Amino acid sequence: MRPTFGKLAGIGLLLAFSVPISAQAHAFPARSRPRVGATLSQSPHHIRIWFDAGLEGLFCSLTVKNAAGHIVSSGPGHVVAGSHDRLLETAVPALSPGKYHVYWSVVAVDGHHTQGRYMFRINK
Amino acid sequence: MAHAIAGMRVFPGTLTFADPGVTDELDLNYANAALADAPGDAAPYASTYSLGYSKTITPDLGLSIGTAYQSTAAPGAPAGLQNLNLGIDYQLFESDRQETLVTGALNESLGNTGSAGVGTTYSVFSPTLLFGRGFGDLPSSLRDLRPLAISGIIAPNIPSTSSVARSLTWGLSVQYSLPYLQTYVRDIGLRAPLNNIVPLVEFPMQTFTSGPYAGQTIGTINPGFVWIGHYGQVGIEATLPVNNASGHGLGVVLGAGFYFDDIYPHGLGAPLFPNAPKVF
Repeated sequence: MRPTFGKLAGIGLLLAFSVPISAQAHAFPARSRPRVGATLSQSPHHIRIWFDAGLEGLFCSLTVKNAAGHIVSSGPGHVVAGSHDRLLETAVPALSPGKYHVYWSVVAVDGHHTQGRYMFRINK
Repeated sequence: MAHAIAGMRVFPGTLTFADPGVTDELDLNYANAALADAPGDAAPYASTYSLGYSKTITPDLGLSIGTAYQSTAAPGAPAGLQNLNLGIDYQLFESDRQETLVTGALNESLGNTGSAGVGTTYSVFSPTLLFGRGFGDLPSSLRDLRPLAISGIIAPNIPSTSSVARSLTWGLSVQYSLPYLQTYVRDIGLRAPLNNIVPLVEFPMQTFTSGPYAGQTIGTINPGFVWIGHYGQVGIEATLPVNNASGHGLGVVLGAGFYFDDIYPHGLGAPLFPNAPKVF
């Protein structure tokens, strides 16, 4: 029986999806604490972002700025040991009520750079 | 179909026209629809299986090749390969802050490379402009609209013979990115696989600019979604003709794209000359 083009295409698709994958892709946040856009009743101690791919710690940063644009986080952030290089963290002092912006910039283990920002609030 | 990134914006590969980036990708599409090649032409339901591959030469310069196999259930209707398509793409503009990409391309459908009755004996040259714009810079009062983005294509089609009508391919997609919403605007608690879905509507159109159909437009409205993964994407859209001249009935298009830059970041998926300077 002659295989149809459709069957051949289906087999090709299966083969293509079966390609062995060992690389790590662009890294994007899987979740964040505080959550993106959250309104908190008290200041967090840390800002943490879990990524969906391993990070090159040397080229990653995490910074928090207040509504006036002043940096309030302690240091540039770091990749936490024991997290499979997926957790980026920085400490913050007790934050007063207001709006805060979190800025992150990471390089995944495959060398791809991604960056982003999000906001959270602290209520009075 | 491809994917491209500008700042925080990931433009998923649209299923009916190329996205605004220069990428390393393999794309597979299946479509089943009753669409006319020219206004009022017979439009039996036809299945089309298409294959496209794009390769970066430098970070901004790429080459592409593609073809498609077409078959129809209509008795006596020809089936076979469409013409081979070759292209060269160059990313003309990128703004991470404004989530904007603009790419120019020179595409050629090569005559006499398809099957009799399906391919054509003439070639078609299509200088192409592709663009994408995300709306992440909207003011905070409109922040729930920041996941919106548009992408589009404008391409005059110039046949190698004057006996064939010229036309303009144009299209637009409107996208609302749930991953963008979750990651940059507001975490609404979506979990996999919903958190990686981009609902979108595509409007692929063709307006004839010469010959007996000059001024007439055919095209479709395609609502659907694309799911973006680590190493590729899958998408599905319905196909609705915009007028009687475009065809009839409901169709479907399915697409799968493989991001070679993520699958093979240091090999097949990397530019041949990664440090080449930008020309423009």
